[in-house]
Amino acid sequence: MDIDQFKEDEALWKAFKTGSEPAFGQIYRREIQGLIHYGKKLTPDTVLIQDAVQDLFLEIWNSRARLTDTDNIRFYLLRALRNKLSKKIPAPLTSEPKEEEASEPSIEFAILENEDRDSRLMRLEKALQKLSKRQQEAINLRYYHDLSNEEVARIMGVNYQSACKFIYSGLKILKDYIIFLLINSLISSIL
Amino acid sequence: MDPSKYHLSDFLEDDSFRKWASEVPSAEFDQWQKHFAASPDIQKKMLEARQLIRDLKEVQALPADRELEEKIWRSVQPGRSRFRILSLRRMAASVAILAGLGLGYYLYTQPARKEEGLSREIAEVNDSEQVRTVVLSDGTQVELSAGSRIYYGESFNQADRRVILEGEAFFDVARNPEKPFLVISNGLVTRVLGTSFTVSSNEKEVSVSVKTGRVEVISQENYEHLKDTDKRSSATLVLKPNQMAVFSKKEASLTRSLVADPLIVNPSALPATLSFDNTPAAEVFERLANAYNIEIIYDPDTFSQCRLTVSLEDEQLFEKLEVICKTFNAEYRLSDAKILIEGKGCKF
Repeated sequence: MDIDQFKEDEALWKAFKTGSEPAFGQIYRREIQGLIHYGKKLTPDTVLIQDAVQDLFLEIWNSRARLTDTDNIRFYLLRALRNKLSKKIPAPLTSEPKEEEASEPSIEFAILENEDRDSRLMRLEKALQKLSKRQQEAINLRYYHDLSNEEVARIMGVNYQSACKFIYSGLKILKDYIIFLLINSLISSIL
Repeated sequence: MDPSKYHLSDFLEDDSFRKWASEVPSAEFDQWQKHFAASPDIQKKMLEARQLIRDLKEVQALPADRELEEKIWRSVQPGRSRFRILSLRRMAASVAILAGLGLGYYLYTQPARKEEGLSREIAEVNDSEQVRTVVLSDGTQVELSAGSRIYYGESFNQADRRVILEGEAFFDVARNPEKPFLVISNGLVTRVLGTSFTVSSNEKEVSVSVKTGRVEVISQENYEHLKDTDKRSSATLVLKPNQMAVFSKKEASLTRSLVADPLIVNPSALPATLSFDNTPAAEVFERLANAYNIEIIYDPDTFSQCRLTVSLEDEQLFEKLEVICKTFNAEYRLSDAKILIEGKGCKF
């Protein structure tokens, strides 16, 4: 987010806090798909997502005057949604699974020139499924919702180092698996 | 930072690079553009990293769930009720209203209620020249106009929330689906289902205009006497945004119409400057109907040849309709809160 976006968010949030319905509507329309998207990455249960998102917006509206200021509304809402969902789906979100160590600092990806886009995306999609829930979530927050590592850490309720670890160990697995798939497809094309 | 020494992972880690890759403006954007132009080597790495960032975004995308979006919106849109009540000869009217009331539970128990006999009721009076804001125990805010008053009982906010209004007031009703908010006003009962609306009343008639959400109105008589749910609901008018109901006390009739200046309910359906460029009639009507959440009825065959090219800005809905109807050789009229478009159409 750039500086203007920060200012815009700050002003929008302030207007909302004073009870502006258009501001509330604007926040809703701007953020709802991102929240639904995030919810769907956390749980397949859309009823649960609906409940949590409903609660979230009712709560912020009803307690709007007491809310703290924010210059990043998306971050604020994603974090609140995760808090709500983690109460209802305890196991995968809060337990600390064994994470693979991000041993090497360097990650190089193999992207063939002029390679066909569909197969590239398909490989990446397959690779993403190899990640742990938390790695997936961290990568989703960082590379889909465009949040910083710091924000990812605060949303997931872990310290900064852990968030970085989720992201980079995740990227490493992606790399390894993409290369694996790539080699496989190369071999099969040769054979 | 020295991107010439960056590995791919360093690019991925770098927030400002990520923004550059997703074409999000940032303070470092131009700097990245310079790096990009600096050498073929760094350019190659940047392209690769950018591709991965874009792929990651694309591969995680889901189709927008508009159905869920609307479903949630219906239950979270601010459930505030706003209504204004105006009676011309207020004091005279208030006596008439009070004498004729006897409605609702707590009023029932006090059939001979008089101005001074309000022992079980609370009155909020505004004798000043300014608007006075009263906060009820449920959190509802009432802006009482000069010389106006509301009454309510001690049972307020127990089974439901009912108030009697004389004069003019602006209500901002706290949302509570469990306990409907009822306004009893000169023979009309307005029931709030989570909305904003205006009520104006004088001795002869009461009007209720809805801004957002849903409001139900029913005559006080029917409200009291129709115990059967089906019968009661058939005597009830449900009002949606931009609709209004007028209750004529004399004829005991309730008619539905559109408010004088309908507001755009779905701004996304209609940008501030509304420009049509050779747009077919069906699309013009659809966009208007969506934006104002109203029903527009027309014969598609008659207007199938019609095209509209015009730019509209601040005009009210009815002004917009006039412009459109002129172009389409048509006229519009209102019927039961629907807009009927009739005319010759655009045959060549």
